[in-house]
Formats: sequence, C-alpha cells, structure tokens
Amino acid sequence: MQEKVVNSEYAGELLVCTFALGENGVFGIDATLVQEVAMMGELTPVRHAPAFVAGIRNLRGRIITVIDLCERLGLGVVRATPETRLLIADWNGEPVGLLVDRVEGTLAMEAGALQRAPSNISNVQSEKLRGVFRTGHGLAGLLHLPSVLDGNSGSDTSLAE
Amino acid sequence: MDSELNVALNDELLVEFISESRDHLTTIESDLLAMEEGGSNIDSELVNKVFRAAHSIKGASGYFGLTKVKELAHRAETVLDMIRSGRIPPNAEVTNLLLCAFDRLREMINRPGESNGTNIDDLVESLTALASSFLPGEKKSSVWERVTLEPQGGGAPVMLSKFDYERAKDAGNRFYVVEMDLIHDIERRGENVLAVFRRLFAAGQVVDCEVDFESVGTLDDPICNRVPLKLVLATTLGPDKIDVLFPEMQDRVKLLSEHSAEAAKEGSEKTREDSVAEMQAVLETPGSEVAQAQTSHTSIGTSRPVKSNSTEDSVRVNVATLELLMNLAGELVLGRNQLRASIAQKNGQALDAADQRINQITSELQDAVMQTRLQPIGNVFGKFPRLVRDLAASLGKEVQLEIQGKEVALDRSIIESLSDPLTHMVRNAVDHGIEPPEIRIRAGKARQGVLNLDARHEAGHVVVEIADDGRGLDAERIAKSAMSKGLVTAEKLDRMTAKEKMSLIFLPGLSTNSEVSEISGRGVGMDVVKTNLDRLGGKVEIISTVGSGTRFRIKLPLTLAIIPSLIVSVEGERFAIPQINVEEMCHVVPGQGRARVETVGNAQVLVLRDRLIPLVRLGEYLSAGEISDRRGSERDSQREKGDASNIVVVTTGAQSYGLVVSGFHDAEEIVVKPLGGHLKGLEEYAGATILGDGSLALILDVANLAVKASLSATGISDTAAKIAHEDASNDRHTFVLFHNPPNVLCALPLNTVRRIERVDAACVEMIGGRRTMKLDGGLLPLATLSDAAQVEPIPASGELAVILATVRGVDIGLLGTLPVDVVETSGSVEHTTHRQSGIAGSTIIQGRTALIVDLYELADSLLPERGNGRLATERPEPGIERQLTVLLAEDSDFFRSQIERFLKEDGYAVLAANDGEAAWELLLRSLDEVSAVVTDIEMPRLDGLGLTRRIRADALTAHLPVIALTSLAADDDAARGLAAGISDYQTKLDRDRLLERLREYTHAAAAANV
Repeated sequence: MQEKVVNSEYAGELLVCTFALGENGVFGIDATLVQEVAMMGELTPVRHAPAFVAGIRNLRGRIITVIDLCERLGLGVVRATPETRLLIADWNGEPVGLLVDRVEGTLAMEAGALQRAPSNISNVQSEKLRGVFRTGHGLAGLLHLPSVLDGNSGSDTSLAE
Repeated sequence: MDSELNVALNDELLVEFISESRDHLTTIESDLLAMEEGGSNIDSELVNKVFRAAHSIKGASGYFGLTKVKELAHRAETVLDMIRSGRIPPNAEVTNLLLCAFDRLREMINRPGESNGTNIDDLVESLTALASSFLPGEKKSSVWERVTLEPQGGGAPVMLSKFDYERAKDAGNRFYVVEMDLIHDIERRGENVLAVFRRLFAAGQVVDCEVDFESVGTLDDPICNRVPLKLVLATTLGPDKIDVLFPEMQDRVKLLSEHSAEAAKEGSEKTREDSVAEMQAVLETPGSEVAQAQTSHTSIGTSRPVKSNSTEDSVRVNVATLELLMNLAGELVLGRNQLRASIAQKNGQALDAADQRINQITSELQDAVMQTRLQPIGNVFGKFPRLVRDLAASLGKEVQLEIQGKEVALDRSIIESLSDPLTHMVRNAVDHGIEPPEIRIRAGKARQGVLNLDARHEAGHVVVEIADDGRGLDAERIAKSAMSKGLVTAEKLDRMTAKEKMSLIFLPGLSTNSEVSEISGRGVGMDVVKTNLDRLGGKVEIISTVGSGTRFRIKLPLTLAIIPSLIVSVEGERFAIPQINVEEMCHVVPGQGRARVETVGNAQVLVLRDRLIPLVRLGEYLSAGEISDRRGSERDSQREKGDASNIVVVTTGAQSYGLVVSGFHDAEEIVVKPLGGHLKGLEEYAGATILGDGSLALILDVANLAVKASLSATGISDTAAKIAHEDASNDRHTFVLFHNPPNVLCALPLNTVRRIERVDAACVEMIGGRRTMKLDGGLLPLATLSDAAQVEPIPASGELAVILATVRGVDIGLLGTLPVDVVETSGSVEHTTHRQSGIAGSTIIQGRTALIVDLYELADSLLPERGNGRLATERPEPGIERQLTVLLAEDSDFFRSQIERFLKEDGYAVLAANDGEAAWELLLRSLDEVSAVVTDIEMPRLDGLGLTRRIRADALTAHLPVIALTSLAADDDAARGLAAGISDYQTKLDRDRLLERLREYTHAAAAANV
C-alpha cells in the first residue's frame, strides 16, 4: 500500500523541508505544504487543550494553533532554544504552526529515492510516514501531514488514500 | 458519465438557480397566506406573483434535469392559474395543499442531487385532483391528457399537457419549439442560461424545457461539444417577430401546430432508453412517471454533488455599502502611506496626524463592515405566519399574528441563533398562551387571539417582543411547581414578587416536565430559550397578567463580532470576559468591607450583600489543565488563599458565580477570533483575541466554564435566588441630581421631591434675611445648601432650579443650578466623609461623587422655630421614662442609616438589622428592651410582612407596635400589611410623621405596661 502511495503521489521530483525533532530524529514534510518558516514567537498557552497543542500565537493578525510535533509524534516535547522554529503549514484551509527543534533545510530528491517506511522509525508509527529517505546524516522520515494533524492520537486509521 | 459534463458546465448556475428559487419560495409562503386571507377577493397581482415564481422554478428546473421539481412546480402552477382565473377559491384546504407542495419543492431544491428520488406522487395526485375537480366536465381530463404538436418544417413532435396547451392557446398564444445548443448558442456567446430564461419569461411562457443528454454523446465519441437544449415557448409574438428573442437562430425556432393526441404515448415510449444517464427527454404520461424517475434519479443523485449549504454562506451586500468599503480601503492605504512617510522622516507631528487618520478610518471601516453583516429580523419573522397558522389550526384555535419591525437589522449570527428561541416562544404562545375560542368568549375576550411580534431599536440594543393576549402566566402555580421540584424553598418564595416567581420558568429542571406546561401554561424548554438568548448576550423579561396575556421582552446587542470585554489576568496570563457577562468586580480583603469569602461544605462562596455566590478559582481550574511550560517564564504562583482576592462576579443569565482572578486590567473592545480546529472541543473558551500590545488573550465562555468547573449542581439553588432577585434589588435608589454650587453635584432622594421648577435667579427675593419667591400665589421659603453646609453660595444670576419638597408639613424650595437629572443608582451611601450639617453623606453616581442633601437639617436651619422648637416641647422628658428602644429592619444602607440617625436624634436607642431574619434574631435576643418595631416591607430573606406575622404569632412579641415603611404607600400594600398585623404605614423619610406615630405607639405601649 505504501508503495502505491509513493508512486502515485510523488511521481517526479520532490522538494522536502527537513527538520530535527527530539534527540536525533530528522524528519521532512513536503515543502509545498509549508507556507513559511517563522520564529517561535510568544506562545499563549491554552489550558485543557490536548497535550500536543503548545499554545496559540499571533501571526500577523491571525491566531494560529501551534502544534508540538515532538509531542504529537510521541518523541517528548520541543524545548525552546534559539533554533526552535515554527513551520506554518496549511491544514484543512487553516494555517497551523508546527513547532520543530531545528530546521535543517530543503532537499530536492527523486520520488524513486523514497523508500517504504519500516514498521517503526524513531518510535513513530509508520502510518504517519510517507516513507523514508536518505539525507547526508542518515535516514529521515517523510511525514504524512494530514495523518499527523488529524485525529486525536496515534490510532489513526484514515490513511487509505 | 456524460451527465457530468453538464455538472461542470452548470455548477455555478445550479447554485444560482437554487438561491433564486429559495428567494421565490420565501415570498411564496407569505403570499399564499395573504391569498388565503383575501378569500374570494382575489388580488390578481399577488396570485400572479406566486404563479410567476412557480413558473420560473418549473422552467429552470427542467434545464437542470430536476424532473420532480419540474413536475411538482408544474402541478402547483396549474392550480395557481385556476385560482388566478377565479375557478378555485383559495380556501384553507387549497392553501394547505399549495403550502405542502412548496415545502416539498423547497426540500427538493435544497438537495437537488436527491430531488429526483423524492416521492411526490401524493402531492401531484392531490393537486391534479384539485385542479380537475374545479374544471367543467368536458375539460376535466385536460389536466392529465396530452396533446402532440408538430413543428413546422419537420422535426420530433412535442407533447404538452392539454391543460397548459389550452390555457395558453385560449390566451392567444402561439407555440414554438426552439432547439438551442448550450455550448455554441449560450456559453460561447458569453450568456448565462438563467439570463436567457429570464428573457424568455418576460416574453411568454416556457411551457417545457429539456436538455437532451442523449445527443451529447459519450466520452468515447470523437467530438462532444454540443449540448442541445429544447424549449417549448408559448408567446403572443407572431412568427415574424419571434426572431427578436432568438437572434441568429432563425432556423432552429419552429412554430408548432396541433396534431392528434393519439401519438402521445408512442412518442414517450420510443424515446425512453435504458441508459441510466438518460435525462427526461420527453414528457411522459403521469402513469409512467414513477418508473422513469426511478431510473433516472440514480444517475443524477450520484453525478451532481451539490453543496447544499453553499448559498447560505454567501451574503447580499448593498452596493452602496460595498462602495463605501472600497473608499475606506483606499483611505486606509493613504493612511498607511502617511504613516510610513512620517515614520521614515521621524516626524512626530505627522505621526500624530497619521494616527488620527487611521484611527478614524478604522472606526468607519468597522461600522461599514458591520453593515454588511446586518440582516433584517424579518428573515426570522418570515416563517412565523405559517407556523402560527398551522399550529393554530391543529389546536383548533384562532390566532391573528401581527408583525412589526421586520426591517430592524441585526448581526447575521444573531439572526441565525435567534430563530430557535423565538420559534419556541411563538409556539408556546399559541400552544399554551392563547386559549381556544370558546374559552376566550367565555372570558369575555375576542374570539380570535392576537399574537404580536415586534422588533425595534432601543438605546443601542434591539428589543424583540412576543406578546399574546392569552391566559397569562400564573405566578403562584409556577412557584408551587418550582417548590414541589425542590428548585426553590418555601421561604424564598415567600418573599418573591409575582414577577420573580414568573422568572422561575427559566429555571432548568422546572420545564423538562410536561406536567408543568399544563399547569403553568408555559415552561417547556424555557431554560434552553434563556440559555440561548444569554449566549447571544440577550436579556429576557416577562410581563404577564393572569387572564390578559403574556409579553416576553428580549433585549439583544446589535452585533457579536466586536464585544466590549473586561481583561483579567491569572498567573501572568490574560483572559477576556465579555462585559455582558460581568455583573461587578470586587476586591475582597478579609476582615474589611462587607463582602467576604466563606467556606460552605467544601465549596467557597462569596458573601456579597445578601447573596451567596459560588466561587471558581480561575487559576486552579486552569492549572488542572497544566501543560508543560515552554516559555520558561516565571509565574507568580501566589495563590489567593487567605489573601485579598480579586473577584469578578459573572452571570450567565440563569446563574451567577464569582471568578477569582489575580488582577483586573482594562476594559477593551475586542475582536473575536475563532480558535483553530485542534481546539474546537474547548468549550470554556469562546475564542481568542489580539490585545492592543499584540499579545493574545483567550475569551472565556462563562456559561461553559461554569459547567466545566462543575458549578452547575451548587449553582441551582443560587440560580433561583438570583433570578428571584433580579428585579428586587432593594439597594437601588432614585435620586434627583442637581448642582449647588455649579461645580458640586448634589442628590436628593426622588421620593422626597414634589416637583421641580425652573426660575430666573432674579425671582429670588430676600425678605427679612430669608430667601423667598412667589409661587402659586404664595411665598415659598427657599433654602440653599450653603445655608447649612460649608459650600459656596448659589450664583445670583442666571437660571436656577427650585426643587419643591414638603418638610414637616411646610413647602420649601431648594435652590440649585442646572442641569437637573433623575438617575437610578445602586451605589452605596457613604456617611462619614462628607457628613456635615445639611449633607447626609455621599454616593457615587455616574462616576462622580454626589452629596446627598438632608432636607430636614436644611429646613431646620431655614425655619428653626418650626423644627426643633416644636419637637422640644413635645419630646418626652428624658429621665422620666427610660430610653425607649426601637428595632429597625431595613435592607437599604441608605435608608437604614437615615432612619437610624433621626430616631437616635429623637432620643431612641436603635437596634438595626438589614433584613427581617436578622431583625427577628435581634428581637429575640433583646425582647425586654424593644418597645416598637419599624420595618421595611421589601427585604431579602424575610420581608416586612413575614416579620410582622412572626411577631404577631409569638406571644412574647405580639403586643409590639409595628410600623411599616414603604417607598410609595399603595392601598393594596396597606391592606396586605394590615392583614399581616402591621399597626401603621409610613412613607420612608417622612421623618415627622414617623416620629409622631412612633411616639403615639410607644406611649400607648408604655402606658399599657404600667
């Protein structure tokens, strides 16, 4: 199933935005989904919100929800450092901020270079991954953004497509 | 699927068609009802309007392949035509049928994709039967019979309903069949099909219309760029003129002439293919309709995924408003340029100018945008004529609905949310409020009940009233029912006014039981109504008299998008609380002031005046949802336990509670922004907003917060007390405000004032060292505050106000300067700071300190011989008798301190209590001291009547004289009071009368004791 996804959706060249999460995990998302990279800025915490919501932030007059990608993927929490960044991505027409430990850069690669994800990479469930790809530092997981952002926890089953 | 081709082509058009049809349908309903009301007096303009609406729906729906819509619209049109020609009377039965038909049409149009699967047989049958039953014998069959028409110059024959054909023919119409190509003749010329239809409707009638998908071909065919559209048009235009309508299409417009009716069946059989994608190519006989629809709807249902709510997301905006917005946007750009230039030049003056300009443009822009969101409330009212009519009919009642103020505009979000509560109340009014005709007649009322809906602007708010002249609310029954359900205690009920008891219908729990609605007449789901209205920031009030009707008065804000809010902080985070929810703020310091925090069971409550208010510690509630703190900021984790607390008393309408916060900040007008999808489940927040400094604040939803903080259980009893108390705030005083001297605000209790006159300062004469003026043929002694108090004298020229009052039976005038105003205030009275001769104390009114004038002291200084002199002679000699003690029960601080003061001045010892309960306890403790009781009537916990009853019921106290004080002595109050055992009634602040009566009673009592 994953093979098929790879073939149909990522035919041709793929531009990936890569970033670090947690101790030594490198991940990427389709760079076309990223609207901008912003500083973490001032986050206003939202009490009683799901644990993966780091807070809300004023982004030029829009209020965006900031998601802690580490927490969302079960890799701990993102610690605020000077390198912490927000990837502003579109989720169902709504801008969402993805909090990451460090942005690595962008990477162009052939879709063919994307490999089927092993059942478990860095403790991230495979259904949240499009596949894995090789970077200068080793293997990185390409996240499937909708399944990362939808639903409540890791029990996502809505990945047929 | 070839029909998908049509979808791509038509998606926008379909949405336009749906929106247009909905508009038609909204007006149709009221028009039909008006037709019914008009009876045999047919307003042909009205019928024509409905007819045209049905007709245009019919015409366009054929184009979209909505066969069932077309069929039903057609049948309705037939009946309407007969009404127009006077052949069918628009009676209730006919109107009902038409209303049903249009309802079904609306359903189908709202879900066009499924419409062809809708069963309309029953309606078609009824409409057809209705039409034929009113036709003369030989024509009866024309309703379902068909005629076949042959195009001149060859081509496929066309079949029409005989009724339609004859009707049009009799009106001198000719029939044409036009075959157009959607792609070449319409799309490629930049035209819109609906526009073409509108043009044709103006010239004649589109009798039939179909799109022939058969000839479109399939995707496998090499070329598929034709979509033929076949129209049958009936018009009075001759063949020589018809070209006007169809320029450059002469060869495709053909005149039709009658053929035999025999070929009809064959024709339809022949063209019916087994293709599921087939659209209805030719009209069939009614009998085969069902089979046809069943085959065709499958394709339409799946191939036309229309967003049924798409049109509701659009708003119509007045072009002028749009222009205004454009202008303002332009201005804003200029303002920005100005701002950037002045920043670049570091020009402070220019910066100020830019700031001012942008400020102004922003407010205007805000207003203009608000305009676009406003919608007339008629959009909600519009459905009520039908609702009331149907409901009244089903209940066998006669109700006349009167609607005023349809044009009053409100924010569309409010309009949308208002629909349900209003519907509920209207339904209640018809169901429970208005009586059946026979009962009304027995009660001496008109047979027909009147239900009045009224919307109007009132002081920045919109007021909506729903009034009926029905049986009214029986406060006692509601009270009993509330008590039997344990929602209020008998004791509380005892001191509730009728109005407060009526408000009990808003209590949750009272209304869920259907019994209650039978007993009380109202009450099903009223708590939900109130909750909904509260959410909109609305207030609802009940005015009702048993037997003569009920009036619900709803007060609503104009908009919800920008709301004035109070900003509070908890542990460094800021939150916004909408002002509408804020009752008051208080700073509670243990051991100081009258408000205090107490622990009841395991819950903390705020004791504020006579109320117990449950508390929610916002900080604790929030930290229960603690998240890892990434900001590394230090929070002051100082909890407010035992320390001073800042408490915001908030109300959800049905319930009040106190929110303990760390600090209060500004009040700001905030723009509500929704929270993102990941936070949708958090009902305690109504959204978020960006504060002036760019930081964010979450907006608290106080109703949901109460639920989340599990307040609801403890809140209910409080709710009762709160609702009961809403209007009974005894601490409110009405003051006459004036100035004396011009810069000092003075206040005089309204109930001491007889009237106010304006005079010129020159009218004031000094006679014998005293100011007087001529009034009503006599001389009026005048006093000014400076006579007694250390204030500046009154100016000797200009216009002055003379406030007339009667003190000790003598009229005096108090001089003041203008303006004079009357205000109601609940502010407490402070008796020390400004206390001096002639000034009783001070209070805060409209943010300013106002001195409260003591008329008696003024009068004493003015007329010394009348005041103390007289009293001195009559006052019992101290020493001869022991000092007498008077028990005073009065909940208003102001009046209590006033009365206490003059009682003491007159030589009494005073025991003061702030309600009946406290007075009773005090009395029991000091039984042998008290020789008279002076009590207010309206008091919390135990009122004056209740206190009197207890006094009379107890052998130890039964002998005590009880003098009751009222603000305004009304006869029925007096009667109730006497029944309860009150010895005498006196008006508050009529010091002399009260003292006189008290003296009589205490003397009598003393004499009796001897």
